[in-house]
Amino acid sequence: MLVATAAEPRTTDTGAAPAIALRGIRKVFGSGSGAVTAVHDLDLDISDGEFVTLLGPSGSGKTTVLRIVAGFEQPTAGRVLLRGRDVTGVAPFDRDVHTVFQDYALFPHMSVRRNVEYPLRIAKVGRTERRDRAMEALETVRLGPMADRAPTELSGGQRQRVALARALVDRPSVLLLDEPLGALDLKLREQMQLELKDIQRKSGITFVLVTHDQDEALTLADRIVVFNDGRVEQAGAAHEVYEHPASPFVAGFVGTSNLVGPEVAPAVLGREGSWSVRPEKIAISEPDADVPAGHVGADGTVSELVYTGPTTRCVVALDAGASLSVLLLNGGQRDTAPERGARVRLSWHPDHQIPLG
Amino acid sequence: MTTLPAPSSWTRRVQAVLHRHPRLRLSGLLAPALLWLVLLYLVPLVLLLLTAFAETDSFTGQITWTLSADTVLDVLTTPAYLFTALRTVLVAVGVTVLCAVLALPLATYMALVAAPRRRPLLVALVVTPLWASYLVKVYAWRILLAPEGVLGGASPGYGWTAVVVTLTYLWLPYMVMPVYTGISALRGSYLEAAADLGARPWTTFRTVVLPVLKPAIAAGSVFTFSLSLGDYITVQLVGGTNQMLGNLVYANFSTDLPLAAALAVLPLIVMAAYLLTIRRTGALDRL
Repeated sequence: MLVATAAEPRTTDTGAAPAIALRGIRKVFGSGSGAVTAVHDLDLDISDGEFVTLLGPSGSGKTTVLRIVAGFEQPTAGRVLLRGRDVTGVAPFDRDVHTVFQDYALFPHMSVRRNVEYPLRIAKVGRTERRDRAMEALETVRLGPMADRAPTELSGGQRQRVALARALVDRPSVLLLDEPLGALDLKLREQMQLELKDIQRKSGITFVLVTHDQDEALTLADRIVVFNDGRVEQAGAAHEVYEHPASPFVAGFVGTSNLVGPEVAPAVLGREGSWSVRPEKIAISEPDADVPAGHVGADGTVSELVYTGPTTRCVVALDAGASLSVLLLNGGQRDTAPERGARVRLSWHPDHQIPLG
Repeated sequence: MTTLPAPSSWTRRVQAVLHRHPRLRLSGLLAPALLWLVLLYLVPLVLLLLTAFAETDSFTGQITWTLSADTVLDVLTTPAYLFTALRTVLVAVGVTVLCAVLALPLATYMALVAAPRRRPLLVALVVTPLWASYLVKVYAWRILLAPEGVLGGASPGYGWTAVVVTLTYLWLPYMVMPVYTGISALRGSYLEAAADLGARPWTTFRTVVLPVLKPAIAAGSVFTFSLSLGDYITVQLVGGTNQMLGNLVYANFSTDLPLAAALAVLPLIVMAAYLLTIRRTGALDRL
């Protein structure tokens, strides 16, 4: 055993203790010259009842962190505390944490209801109560009529909801979701996002969801933790992470950004260094229009128009260099939208210029 | 299209007829297999049953084709025959259980633990002994188990233990392969999911692994059980003076054919009962 003392539960004041506390977590896979550090000295607190997403590109260490919390992986260094209790080295079956797996992992030899009953059966809950609670959980995900089907007879979205019901039926203190919506098509994914948020709010259970989809992270989470290369780049509310990215990586990964590089920044912005401006923060107007007081203005030519339904993305090649994307809302004033090749004047408030170091 | 050489007209016509008559196509495909089954399997089986109900002239030793149930009733009421049948079944059961117990960890390692690129090699290693001659392998065990041989005092000597051990060695690959296929279905997150939902390793084995593997083990047992049931050479070489049903059939084959046939009906009955029992596990869908 790596941590001999870990199995003893530590009774701490649970009122103040966060649902999950990670202290100096490091994870190294392999050894010697082939060793890869997946997570570098991570500290993270997640409060009770919070909905947190771990966002990052593949290989950024977010799934490893989730698996360390679940107990499938042992950290190379550091401690995992659940409600103040040190569970480092404690097996998954002794943690009050459930996981919704990317491949759902519904047991193929059991019906939908038996799958949902499984954790109750393990906990030796009586037959009738087991059945009632499983049916109740299936009703919350609107799958009551499917109870006697085999998992293979369900669609991807339905399997996803069964996995959710199974993980929630015995009310764990923490639910971990590993890219749970990755295999679903866009429409279903958007619908499931709303359902997840609703279920989380009603149950009050702490949700930690891993995703590489920034839209999903922004939609779902109370708080987003952005991972890059095994480190936390930024942790904060959706609007904080989006409006005030703490690093160039976050600015680039969360949302779309217009990059204004150091070679054109002095000419366009009148400042040194690299900057980013969100497309929706930029106003577009006639070439002879006045730039509002205190705003930054720049002239250019429309080089591309991409119509996407609710919005049109308008790419403007600035006279000063750089090329900026501008997002136009198609709100009924289509006739005012510029044409390709038209001369336009762009303007934005300097507050929306995000420094990228 | 026009540059393609036209197929000769009669092949085209045959193809057209077959295309229009799916049933004709099906009969054409099934005919060779059906012919094979009837000539080489059903006909000999019927002859065997008929022979069991024939009689041997006790003076000349000639078969007289008068229908009589005497031989069959004789076999079914003679304790010596029935005890031999029981011992044979016990050997087959022992071999099957031993094969299952050995195959489970082996197949688990092959399917879940070993690196994916090494799996084909492991499968090949398991199957390789099937390429060697049956007799060579049994003689090898005879030498290995000889009381004054390599094992010395550790050898159980020639007898039932030696028979079960040797047969287990012979038929193990037939158990490992279906169990390996069955365990492969557990790749993915099933085992982690069970642990995650609170199941300890033994509970996971009982509630997830075993139910998924039951049909696979049953499928493998059809092989190990039936192959053991019909064996008579292994017991001759390593079984000491013991006999199995096959030995009785073999011994009476040249002197009393109806008796040999009646004795051969016994394993048929056992096998039919066995197949009917395990049909309920769904294992036969996997053969």
